[in-house]
Amino acid sequence: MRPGPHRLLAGLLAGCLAGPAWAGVPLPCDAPAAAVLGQAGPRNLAVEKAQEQLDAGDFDGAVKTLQVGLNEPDVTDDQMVELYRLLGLAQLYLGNEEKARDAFEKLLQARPDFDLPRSEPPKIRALYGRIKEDIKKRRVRPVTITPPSLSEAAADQPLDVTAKIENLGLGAKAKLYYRRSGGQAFSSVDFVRRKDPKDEFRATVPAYEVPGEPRAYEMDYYLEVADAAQRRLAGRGDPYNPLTFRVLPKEEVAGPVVVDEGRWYQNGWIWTGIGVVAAGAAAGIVVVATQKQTGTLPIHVRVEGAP
Amino acid sequence: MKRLALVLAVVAAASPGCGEGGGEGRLGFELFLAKAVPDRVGFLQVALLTKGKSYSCDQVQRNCLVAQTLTSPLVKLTDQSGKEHSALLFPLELDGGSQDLSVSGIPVGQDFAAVVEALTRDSPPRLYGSYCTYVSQIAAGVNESQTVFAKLSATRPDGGSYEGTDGGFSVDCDPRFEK
Repeated sequence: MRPGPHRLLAGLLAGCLAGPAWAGVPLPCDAPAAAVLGQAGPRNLAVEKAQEQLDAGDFDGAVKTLQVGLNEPDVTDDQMVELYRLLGLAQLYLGNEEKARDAFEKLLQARPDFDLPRSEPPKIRALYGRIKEDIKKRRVRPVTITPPSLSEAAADQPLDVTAKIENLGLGAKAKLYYRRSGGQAFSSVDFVRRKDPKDEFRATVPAYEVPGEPRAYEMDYYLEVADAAQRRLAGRGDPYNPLTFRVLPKEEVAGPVVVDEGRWYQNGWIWTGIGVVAAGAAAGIVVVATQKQTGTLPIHVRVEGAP
Repeated sequence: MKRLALVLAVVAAASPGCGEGGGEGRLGFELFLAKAVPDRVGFLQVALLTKGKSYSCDQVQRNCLVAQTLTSPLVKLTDQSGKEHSALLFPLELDGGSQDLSVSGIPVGQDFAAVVEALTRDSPPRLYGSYCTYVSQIAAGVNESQTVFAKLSATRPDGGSYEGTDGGFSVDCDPRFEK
């Protein structure tokens, strides 16, 4: 590849690529300033560095930077879209149309309605248009998540979260991330495909993660589908803009029941029953105390593709 | 970079089983390994932490368990000869693409964290990847699975998590409790 056309193309794109200095949110060059301010998110150093490299015509360097950026944890939807967009551009400048196509496909999987700004060069827009057309013809199927309607949860109970996930590709996994609002780290559980319907998935938050408390409290959560390299393909919410649900307060223990019919303790059968139960319990305690109760945890290891 | 996925889908044994027959073929953990992984991994090490809720599994997975400061004791696990260990080491010996392991003699109780570490074939072995999950309860007998899947990721030298590898990653620590 001759450097001349590259630099020319880079120059043509410079205004667009080097647009927002914070570089955390992808926006068309012609996006209004208000939109920029309204969508400002966390910075992404890989995006910023890759933009600089693209501006300087260092397309190989930009590809490397973007691949590192895509492997970083906690990449938001907006950042991922920007990373893939720049990766597609860099690959195109390098003459790697297939790799560019791959990057744009990932972008469209994550954000099916994403459009390149009109200021992009015609060659790029044409390729992008062809890929979008493929998607319409279902040759590339975007992952879609229909999130659960989750607003409240009972305390001290395992919380089953069911979501509809379509077109989950080979190697891709869906996860539910959650934390108590205000906490730092998210915990996660994986979604498991249900047998019927097959596009329904369920994740279970253990009961001890939603302990009962006298007052209700909020939990943050988000859903994410990532490919085998942990690249986000789709999601609902993200670490910076999580969804929330409310854990209901622990129910008050019911008050004492007033027995107002006769005197129960005057009934001889009750004392007989109590005696029998007590004897049984004592025998049970002796058995349990003399036996060490142990459990077994079987593990089945299987290589993918093996029967 | 060509990536080879290492995916271990793990089912946390959190639901109580009743007696040996309680399992009915359902297993405590089910691990799926990508085809390339057995070439790199020689052993799986299983450990159980008490007071599982007090740990951040994300943190636990970042380094060898043996190198970490634990805030609660490990559950003593018994091997087939009845000897107690802090962790059980299983050689990865796949037969027809699969292998059954069993961690038995676990005292019944609640609130554990199970840690499965994949050890490289190097000498001494290094940590290839680690998976940690909360286990709310261990019941008597064979514990049925709770359908909660998760992945074991190869651990990056900088402490991050990395799904899939070109075979070059491992953490520079020897995960074995008994060297």
